[in-house]
Amino acid sequence: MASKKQTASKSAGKGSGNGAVKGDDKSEDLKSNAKKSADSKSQDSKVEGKKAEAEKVQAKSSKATSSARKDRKPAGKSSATTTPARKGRAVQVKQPKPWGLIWTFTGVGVVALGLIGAAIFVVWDRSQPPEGITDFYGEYANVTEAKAAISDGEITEEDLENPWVVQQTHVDGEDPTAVPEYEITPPAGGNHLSQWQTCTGSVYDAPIIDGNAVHSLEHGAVWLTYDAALVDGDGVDRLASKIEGRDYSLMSPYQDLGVAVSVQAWGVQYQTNEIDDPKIDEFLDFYIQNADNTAEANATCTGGIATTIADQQAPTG
Amino acid sequence: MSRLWRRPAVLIAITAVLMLAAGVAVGWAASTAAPGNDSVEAGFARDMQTHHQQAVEMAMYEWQNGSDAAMTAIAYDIATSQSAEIGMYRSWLRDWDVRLSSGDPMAWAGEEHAHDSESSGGLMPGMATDEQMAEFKTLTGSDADIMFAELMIAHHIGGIDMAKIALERSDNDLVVDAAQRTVAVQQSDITNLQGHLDNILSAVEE
Repeated sequence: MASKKQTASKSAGKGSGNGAVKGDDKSEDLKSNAKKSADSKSQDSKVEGKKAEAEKVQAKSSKATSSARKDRKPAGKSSATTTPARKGRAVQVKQPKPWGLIWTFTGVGVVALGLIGAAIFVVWDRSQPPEGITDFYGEYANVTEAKAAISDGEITEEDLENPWVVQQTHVDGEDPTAVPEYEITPPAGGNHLSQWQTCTGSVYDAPIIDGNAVHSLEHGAVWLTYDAALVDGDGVDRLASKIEGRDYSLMSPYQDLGVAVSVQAWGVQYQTNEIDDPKIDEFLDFYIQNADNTAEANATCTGGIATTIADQQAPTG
Repeated sequence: MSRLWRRPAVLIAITAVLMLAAGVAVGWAASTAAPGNDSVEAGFARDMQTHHQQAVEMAMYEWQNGSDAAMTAIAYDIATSQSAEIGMYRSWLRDWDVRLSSGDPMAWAGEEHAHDSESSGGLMPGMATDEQMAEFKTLTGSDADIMFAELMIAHHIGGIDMAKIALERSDNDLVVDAAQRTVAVQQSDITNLQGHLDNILSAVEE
């Protein structure tokens, strides 16, 4: 008996393909059954549980239910003629709102929309640079976009807010003694020297030449500079631990920096007075070899200049 | 509105469409994320890229400054093939839309290996220290040949270890394929390096 009741309520729950009228008819059966089983709760509480289960199944998969419908239809019809169904009809005059259904479907809808939204956000968020970074690309997102705008003829180099973000000439090409000049300190891109500074997680204990470091930035490295007047030995060690062993990064003290730490990649910079600022790590994570922001992709950090300015000026025999 | 609730078919259809869309969206996010930033696959690709980079640097120096023809040939082979593999690792990482760099080398290799690099200043298994590299770069001729062989054998042993960890921990086709190749190629490289090293050493003794 219990199984028959369950079948009746199940087949009433859906009605696609049977036409609207039949569908309505059957859903009324459902309600009547629901009412009935509520009335006779004490008698047959098992039915309640099974019915709830049946509703869950419906919510989960409309497909499964509709394929099951064919086999169950006769049973459903026959059960409609049995006593419990007739009893149900007698009390169906005023129907309560089917709150269970309403909440179930609303809930499922909200969860589904939430998942869609979350997925879109996750994918979008992954491509966003950390906040609070100074970038020198103006309206463009990165060096790739800025160069694309120029090569598409939309703008010329001079239209950029900072033309140096797309300038990559070796200034010592014609005149080996020429030295590049930079608009910002420390520099974060622009023309540079023919040699790059070795940047295989390299920690330099004395200042290095700007033009070499900028060449490293071109290869996709992040350069961490600090003001030795503002950062003590312990602070230097903590900064060094972020760089050591990390390919495509380098670190050096910078004279008169005026802020404890400045990190730069090609066309972008972040400055902070907090040694343990998590933004430093975010900057390293995001900009080291950034696919869209490496001016010369696939170039290496090995095989560059591995000496400081002091090393180079030291008298050699 | 109340009529809508009387038509479960319509509701089920709407719900089904929403669920399907949600499933597609989650799958999309998962596929662009997989393997994710913290995955074994991404960690392996990132670290092998760094590991290979040093091998290329050593081999380039040996190619230019070594004297034994067999040794410089191996060096040429290592510099070119490992450069190609670095490009392969980068393509994976870009395809997977993950970071190309991590402050945690070997973290992907599991607890027992995660700290392998800490005692060596962030260096992965088998990598030469800055001091060793600096010393190597002062050498020429058979001195360079000998140190190159020694450094590269240690380097390859470390590389094979990393590849074996990846084989244990990943079933990604790309990674398994590359790791198996690394084990096979570097194992035979070691045999060759050792053979040529023995030749050079016995020649030096004579």
